[in-house]
Amino acid sequence: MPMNNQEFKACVGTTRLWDSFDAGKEVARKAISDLDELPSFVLLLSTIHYEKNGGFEEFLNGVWDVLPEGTPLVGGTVAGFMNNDGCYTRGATAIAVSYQNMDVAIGIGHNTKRNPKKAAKCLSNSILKSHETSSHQNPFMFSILPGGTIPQLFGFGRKKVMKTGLVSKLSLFLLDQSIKLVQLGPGREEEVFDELGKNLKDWYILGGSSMDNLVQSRCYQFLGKEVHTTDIVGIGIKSDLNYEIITEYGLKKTGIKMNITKKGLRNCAICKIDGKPATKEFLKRINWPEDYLDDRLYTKTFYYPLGYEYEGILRPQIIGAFLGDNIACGYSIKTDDIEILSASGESLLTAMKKASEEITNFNPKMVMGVACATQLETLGSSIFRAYDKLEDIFKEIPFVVGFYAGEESYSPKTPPKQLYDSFNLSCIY
Amino acid sequence: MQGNDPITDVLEDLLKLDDILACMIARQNMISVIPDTNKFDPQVMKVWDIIKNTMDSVFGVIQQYSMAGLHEMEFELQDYETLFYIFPDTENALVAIIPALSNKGLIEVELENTRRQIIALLDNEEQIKTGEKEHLTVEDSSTSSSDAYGINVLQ
Repeated sequence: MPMNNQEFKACVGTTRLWDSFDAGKEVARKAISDLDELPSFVLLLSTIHYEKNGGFEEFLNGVWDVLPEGTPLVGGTVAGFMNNDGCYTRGATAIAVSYQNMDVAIGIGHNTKRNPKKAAKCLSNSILKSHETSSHQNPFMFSILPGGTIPQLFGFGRKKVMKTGLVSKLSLFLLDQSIKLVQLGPGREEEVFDELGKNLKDWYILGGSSMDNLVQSRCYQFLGKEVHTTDIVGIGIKSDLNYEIITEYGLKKTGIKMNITKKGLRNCAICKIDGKPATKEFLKRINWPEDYLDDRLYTKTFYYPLGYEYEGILRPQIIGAFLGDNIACGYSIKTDDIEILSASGESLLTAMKKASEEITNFNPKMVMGVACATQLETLGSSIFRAYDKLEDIFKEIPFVVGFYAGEESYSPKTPPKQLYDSFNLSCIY
Repeated sequence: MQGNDPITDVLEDLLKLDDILACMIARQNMISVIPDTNKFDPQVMKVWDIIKNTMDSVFGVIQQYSMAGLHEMEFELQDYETLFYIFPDTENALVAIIPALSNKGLIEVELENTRRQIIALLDNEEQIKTGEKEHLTVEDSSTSSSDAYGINVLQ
């Protein structure tokens, strides 16, 4: 049989078991159950719950109890996931692929928050080296990064809203120190992807920032049998197949524009808007009373992300925290003019449906998606409306969409970017 | 699973989530299925009486509008939020009490999964009953019945 007639097969597994080892075993068993050949690679996503129910080492022990030795595997923790079996915020899923005309390599870059460029170089170099002898032309990488976390500010607790006081005044300095010392704080994923885009120019790359259950205190990445907390992991494939990445937003521009006159924390924080303290000015512009300034404000802002256009692409920013007068965002803001965007349940659902319809135009063999966890939090149980639509659109096509702390992508057609509040689907076709 | 009846098992599974402080299946003035209350968060038990009274008032609304398609309800009381996931065309709801400042959206996804699981169990129960009825001689066709779990199922 000619090599190019080898059948591509992908299979999705889900587990809802609580025990780490049992869950790992079950999800791996289900993911490879329908494959006729040894898996070429496995993508493994889990919610944070196994941390307290045996730990992630034990979870991977369960996976490797079933998975054939040497199977390339990457994964990480997500707030939730959708796949052919349903939509969940507790459990784990894996998608396993077998295809003969495909070379696969896994790689890692360490300490993305301390040195994002170095981490990206390390990962891309190892992937490129592994593929030096590959006879296949078309490259694709799926990567999982450490997402942004909110540190305990030196005994003052993990707060997303700090009104006033000495700690709020020192917060940006403390946050900067926290990134350097313990790698807690903004994920710096856009710096990682800027570098990946330079090193892997011809590649299609989709990334997701790992996270917990939106508490944003920790995250895990999986590489083979290893569990990491501060590193980017990636699975690079070269094959005779094609790839596509579709990005959709459920966001509308409100027309409320703001001029940033002072930034901080590597341009990740807005300190002043039109020369005035950022937090108060933001509340004024959006017409919210200052009484709103409590821990509930954080979730209200999910509906009103900030955004700006850069290199022709809308870059939405989720507000990470209000630290006194400063607004901390997830990644560096590259312009001085930003706009308040708005999201609604309906617009998010429409975006998910649109992306799914667009990707099916390519007649995909499988779909892997990266969506923003804030969409899951915003939609709540209404996510099942999206799921019902996706299930109807994808039908028999194996798919896994994870809900992450941030979404990153690059392709030869589009610049590297980190996004929030976006819905991204990649496909192999 | 723990060897309880299947619906209690499903509720106990839900209760393992950190932010689910208490859960049950209830209707007005009646709790139909409740997991071991020792597994409830003790902080909820302290305010249980006031939550229970408020719940009963909410069930008055559910009773009135469930047939019109009322799907979900919730109220926030003190530091807690009580969510009602109504079983279609019944006056019963899956009730969960969560901290007011929790990430509610993520919890809602699992509440919906729990509701779906329970509906599937009830459907299964109904199918078994229907099979038994067909097997035996059907003597009457009542408009409603109470299933093995004490949940009133409208037919």
